[in-house]
Formats: sequence, C-alpha cells, structure tokens
Amino acid sequence: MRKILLFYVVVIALVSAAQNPGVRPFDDEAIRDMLEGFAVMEDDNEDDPRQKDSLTVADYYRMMEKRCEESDGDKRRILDLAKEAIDGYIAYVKNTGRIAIANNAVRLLQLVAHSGDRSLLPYLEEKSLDPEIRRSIRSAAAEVYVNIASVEECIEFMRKAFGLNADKGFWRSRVTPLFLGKMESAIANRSVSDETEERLLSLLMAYTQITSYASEASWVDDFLVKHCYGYRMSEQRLSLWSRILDEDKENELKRKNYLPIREAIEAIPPRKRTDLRKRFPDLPPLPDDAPARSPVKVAIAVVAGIVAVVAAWLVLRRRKVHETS
Amino acid sequence: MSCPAVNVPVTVWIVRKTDQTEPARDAAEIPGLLADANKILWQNGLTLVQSGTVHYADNDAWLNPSNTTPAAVYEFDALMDSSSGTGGVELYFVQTITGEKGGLKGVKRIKGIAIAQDGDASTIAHEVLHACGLDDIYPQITIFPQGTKVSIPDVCAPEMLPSDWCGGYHEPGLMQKFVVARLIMSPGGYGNVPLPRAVIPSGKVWGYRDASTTGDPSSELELRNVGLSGCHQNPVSE
Repeated sequence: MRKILLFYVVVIALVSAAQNPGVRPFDDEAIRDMLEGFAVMEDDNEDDPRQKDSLTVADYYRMMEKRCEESDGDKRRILDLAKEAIDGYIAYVKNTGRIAIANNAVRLLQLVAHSGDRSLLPYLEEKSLDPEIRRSIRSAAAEVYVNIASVEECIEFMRKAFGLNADKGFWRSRVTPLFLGKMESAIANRSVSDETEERLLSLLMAYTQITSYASEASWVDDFLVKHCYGYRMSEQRLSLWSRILDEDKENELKRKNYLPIREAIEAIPPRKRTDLRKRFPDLPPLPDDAPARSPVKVAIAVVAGIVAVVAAWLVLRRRKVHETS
Repeated sequence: MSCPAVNVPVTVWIVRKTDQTEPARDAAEIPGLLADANKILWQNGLTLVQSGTVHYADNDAWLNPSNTTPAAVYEFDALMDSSSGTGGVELYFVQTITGEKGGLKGVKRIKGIAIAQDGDASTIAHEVLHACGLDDIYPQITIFPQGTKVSIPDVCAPEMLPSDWCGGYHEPGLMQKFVVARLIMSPGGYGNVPLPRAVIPSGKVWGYRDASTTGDPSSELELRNVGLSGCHQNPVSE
C-alpha cells in the first residue's frame, strides 16, 4: 500500500512538472543562476532602446525575494549565495588581475543592499577594510554597510575606515559623503542622543588632526562648522588647513579654497581662538605647542646639574684649603 | 570580408576632483590600455591613436557619473561636452558609472565613451565597437520571474554562424554558447569564471539579444549583429 502511494505521489509530481515547465523550485541552483545573470548584465549602450525598459536593481532583488517567499525558502539563502559569489569574483580578480570582473562583485553588493539585512554587516565590514581587495569592491561594500547600519555602528565603522590610508584615503571618496549625509539626517531628525553626537564629533575632530586628504577634509570641515560649537575659529581647524596647504604648496586650487580659512583664523589673536582639547581630551597636541621634554633628557639634565654643583663645591673647597695653608 | 585599415583619433579625458586630485586613472596607463584594445580591434581594421596629450576634467560631479536621473544625465552630458567634433572617439575615464541595473564598467553614449576604474582594454574595445554599430550578444538568458537560466542549447552549426562556418574550423561538437562567450560583444562571457573575450566574427552570430526576459526565451534568440559586416560606421563621438 505504501509503495502504491509513493508511486502515485511521484507520478503526480512528474506530471505536474511536465505541465508547468516554467515552475522551478527556488533552490540553490536557481539562486546562483539569478545572481550570475545579474552580475554579468550590462546596459552599456545608450543607443539600444531595449535597455531603457529593463529592470532596476531593486526590481531584481524584490523579484528574487518574491520567488523565495513563494517557495517557502529562507531569504537569507540569497545573501549567503551572493556572498559566496562575491568571494569567488574577489579571488578571481586577485588571482588573474582581470579587473573587469571586479564589477561583477560590485553589482552583487549593490543587489544585496536592497535586502537591508543587518546580518550582512560583519561581512561588509570585512570586505571594506581588507586592503588586499580592489578599491571599487571595498568602496561598494562600505557604501552598503553605511546604508544598512545604525548611526552608532556607522561611527565605529568609520573610525576603522579613517585609519586605512594606503591610497591617501581615496577609497573613501564615495563612503564619507554617504556617512556624513546619514549623520546629518539623523541629527536633523533628532534620532541621535547627545552622547552619540559627541562621539561622532570626537571621531571627526580626531580625523581632522591626521588627514592629508583635502576633499574629504573639506566635507568633514563643513560638517564640523555646522555641528561642533567653537570649531570654526579653533586651533584644530587652523592646524588642519595649515597642514594640508603646507603639504601641497603648488596646488593653486587648494590655495584658493583653503587659504582664506587659514587666514581668517590666523587673523584672530591666539588667545581668542578655541582649543577644543578641553572638550575632546584625546586630541593630539597642536604643532605650535612647546614640545614635551622626554623623561630621559630631564634625568640627564638633573644629573648634569648635580655634577656641576658638586664640581663647583669641590673647587671652592680646594681654594679654601689653599688659602688657609 | 576585409576592412580598410582606419586610424581612429582618440581624445582622452581623465576626470579628477575639482581640486585636481584623485585622477580616475593614471595617465601612464593609457598607452597600454589603447595598445591592448587595438590587439582586439585590429580584427576590424581599427587602430585607436591618441590625439595629443591626456586632458583632465576637474569636477567632483563628474567623477562618478550616472544615467539614472535627468539631473545625472545633464551632468554626464556636461562632462562629455568637454570636447566635441573631434572626428574620432572621446574616451572619458571616470571612477564609477551607475546605470539603472547597477554599476557599469563602461558605457557608450552619443557624446562619447565612459570607462570606469574597473574597465579594461576589453571594455574599451567593446564600447568602441558599439560606436561602430555592433550589438551585445549573450550565450545565456535568465527567465523572470522564475529565475530559470537557459543557455543556447545547440551545437555550432553553419546557420548559427553563417559568415564564419568553414567546415571544421570549430571543433566538432562545440556548443554555440561557448562560441558566443568568446565574442568581444558578449558582455559577461559564460559561467562564473568568464572566458577571455576578444573575437570579432565576420558576420552575424546566433545568440540571445538580452541577459534576461519575462517572456519566451526562444523569442530572444536571433542572428545578432556582432561581426564585421555590421560595422557600418567609423566610431565617432559627437
């Protein structure tokens, strides 16, 4: 009886499959097919009228999700397989040097961004901060991270990102504006606590004291002028623009854009300028601060002083002995 | 079919930030890129020859162009108006390009060709051939909404490469999808590890005209204009 029942179920399934050839379970193979199809898709010829009618990235992702729902699958499987494919493309670029394939990874990152799934964050952080990975992929991963993560997570992420400057930090050229825009909106919506805002300002202040990346510094500078009381006429702002101008003295445009900022602060007497180290104690010393003496030098100076005093005393004593004799 | 040899003047623009920093491409890479693109384009009798020195377009708004909104298209056009009437191709090297379907390595527009940082010599050759009038061709197609992917099912046959078939030139039993994947006009190749693509056939080739469809995939199969016979113009940017 059980065999007959099993046979019946198999026959029904086969007949059903034969009648609906388009209906395919949304299994791993189907997901991989769709991911690969998306990765290689290009609308690179504006003269081709067909390309104007094609699906957007968001449409494509929603369609995959819908297929997953219809087949009672776990949507996270899409993300897992996308990560697998992205890793494959990253390895391929690394091993072959065929940079054009990096765009496949970028496109898949842009696709999974539409999931908004926070479980992607550790993966995205890892890809963003790996200096061995091609810049376009890191940038795309970082953009997705900033889009998905909370304000607090973004601050901690950018703390790490600001530390990676092998290419002067140029890899952040799309990420930093996105991050600052997100912070701007969060502050405007009053969805940021005072403590978080202070942590954000502290991060950005610290950044201004180390960076040489003029464009990014200018975005951060605009943000701080708007949100950090006292920054506009601060010693730290003077230090930032002095350093950037001094590092590239030949660049006329930099002088045109940033020299007025430096001159405006220099025109203020030093005692009237703000020193934000009181508010942000972790900030480094300013360039004009008297250099702190090293403990070794101080010790040597003390010993030398003692020796000199003892020597003088001995000379005086000898003279006295001579005079009395 | 033979083509007269043509030298195509190429005006090269590299986009940088407004403050003249962060060039999208190192100028020293350009001669090598053009030389490698020429290794593909010689099949079509074309040689890209750089006109003058590299020009720089210094504008933050042009580094990452997009054609997804009217405002973005306006900026993209403004970039490509940096030169006009050159009588040849204008190549604009940018950081990234964003289309409706996500990031692009390159794009052919009426006013010029943009190449992103992930674009290579194959990308340049592919876009230049679009400017000559050639179309894309795909060895496989994804059917929406099922997500089913189908490949060109057939083995190579004369009717699928009418201008190229030469009795045994292709190994017997070679699948058409692998022929298509080797064509320079095939954007993605075939499979997760794409094959090098460089071939310009002499005429039309049987393949899919798009990467996806919501209809019957067989209706997307046709003889695609991807060969020398389809190059009806020299590449010129307006």
